Amino acid sequence: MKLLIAIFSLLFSNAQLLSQETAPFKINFEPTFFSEKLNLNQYYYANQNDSIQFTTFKFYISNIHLISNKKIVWKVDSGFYLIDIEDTNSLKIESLIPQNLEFDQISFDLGLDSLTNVSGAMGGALDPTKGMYWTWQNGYINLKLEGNCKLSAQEEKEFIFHLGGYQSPYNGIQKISFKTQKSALYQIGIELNNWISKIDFPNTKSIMSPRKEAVEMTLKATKMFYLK
Amino acid sequence: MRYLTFFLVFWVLFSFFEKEKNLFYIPKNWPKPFYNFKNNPLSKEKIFLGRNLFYDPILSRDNSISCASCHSPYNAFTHVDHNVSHGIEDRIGTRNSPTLMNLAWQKSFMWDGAINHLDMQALAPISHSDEMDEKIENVISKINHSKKYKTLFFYSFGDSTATGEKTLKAISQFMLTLISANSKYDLVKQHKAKFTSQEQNGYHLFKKNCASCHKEPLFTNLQFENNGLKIDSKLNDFGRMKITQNTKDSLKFKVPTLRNIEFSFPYMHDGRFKKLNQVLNHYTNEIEKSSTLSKNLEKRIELSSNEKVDIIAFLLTLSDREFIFNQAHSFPKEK
Repeated sequence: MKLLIAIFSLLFSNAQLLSQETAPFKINFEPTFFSEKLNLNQYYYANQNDSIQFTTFKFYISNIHLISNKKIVWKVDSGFYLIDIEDTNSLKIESLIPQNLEFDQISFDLGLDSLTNVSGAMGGALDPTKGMYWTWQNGYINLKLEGNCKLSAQEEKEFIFHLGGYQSPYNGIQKISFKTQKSALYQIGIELNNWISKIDFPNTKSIMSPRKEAVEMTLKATKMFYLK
Repeated sequence: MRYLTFFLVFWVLFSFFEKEKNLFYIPKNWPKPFYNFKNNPLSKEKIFLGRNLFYDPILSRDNSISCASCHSPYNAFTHVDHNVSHGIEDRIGTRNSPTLMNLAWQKSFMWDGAINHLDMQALAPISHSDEMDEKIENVISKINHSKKYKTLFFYSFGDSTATGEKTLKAISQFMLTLISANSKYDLVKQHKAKFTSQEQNGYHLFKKNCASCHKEPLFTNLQFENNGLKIDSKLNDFGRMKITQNTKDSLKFKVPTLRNIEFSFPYMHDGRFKKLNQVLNHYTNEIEKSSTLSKNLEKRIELSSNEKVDIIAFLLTLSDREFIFNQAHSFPKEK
């Protein structure tokens, strides 16, 4: 009988755990360029001679973790998110977390980890038809930025940054984290100029393969993210 | 009623074995396969779908080239006669297409190991401008406009819509069934056949001089090695170094299997040798010394011309005619 009670109480407490109240957890990404909403294919002019235009801008976000006292207390889904500036739906991440969860930090990865890179064909955001997979060699592109720029009366030049790489020493994935308080909605700004202004365009060639320059460029790109 | 039960049990058992026979198997005394089947469980339907895709030029930009164009079953799934393979509009590539067999045991693909997973392999030739010159997005859209594939995808995945993931996994499934383990060599190992004295001597010499890289039973150690080939100044192909960007990998290429070598000429990553005796002459007389040369080749290999003939006699026992002429691997005819 005692055993029966023990089993029942265990079942009951588990049921209670399962029916625990949940709270929404939302992230909205807000891409901007000089604080204005970022529009692809639009020409931006700095002065009479300089112009820049972005034609593609997309990247992977993965491993969204909620942290309390430097310890991970919640992993938001197992999700991989492909953020594509052209697709406004992709700018929103929605999930559920336990209502009484306390945390003081949010962290996520810009890019995909090496395990994901060697795991074969996958679907959803990771489907190779999404244009984020290298074909001549293996691995995902973590971050894609393409466009044209014209500097100081020079001819307009195309730039292509396909940043990725999962093999040491050129593993491109970068962790980004923010101290925060609990809230139902997090607005994460992406100020493209905070990255672009760190690129010396006349002396920077396009990057389309995993190498040292790709890792350095991804590090610069992490500077775009800030918590509003 | 009893008969009915008996019949049902028999039928279930029979269909189980029948199904198993057509799927994947591990030959006796072989190591565990490297491919993770959990993420892509084999089924007869998916293998058939993959086989259709493998032989379908729909994968190329102008619907002219299929996987089989450079990987023909009658040549152990490689491109015979051409030192470097040609693709769309007869454009010439830079390497000799490799044979396709026993792929579940391979850890990386391509001569330089650029591809880390069998599922992702097909993406490379599909999008290479000298091969199929097509985008995977377009391939999927073409497949989704085909009535035939609508049915095949439905029977394979319970959903008629093709995606990149499903398409690549189906092609993998077909390739995984390309198992060659029925050569005379294998029969000798199973005590079902005997080597001639010449083959036996060749096997002995092979074990002494070649087997450290071409390790049994796969006849490759799956490593990258510099086998002392002089660099072709037109192609300037440094092999594995392009992938790792490490100078220690300069001029290293993946050690290929020797199974079905009779059918897979020409030889080497750039197909520079047409005949097996040219290959053996390279190893005895033409090794180019360099800092990355394979340790196994530092000491000169010495073989008399008779001994070379014996080694070739042994290499021909690696031919697996059952594999080459297996109807289950050939062009899928309408059912």
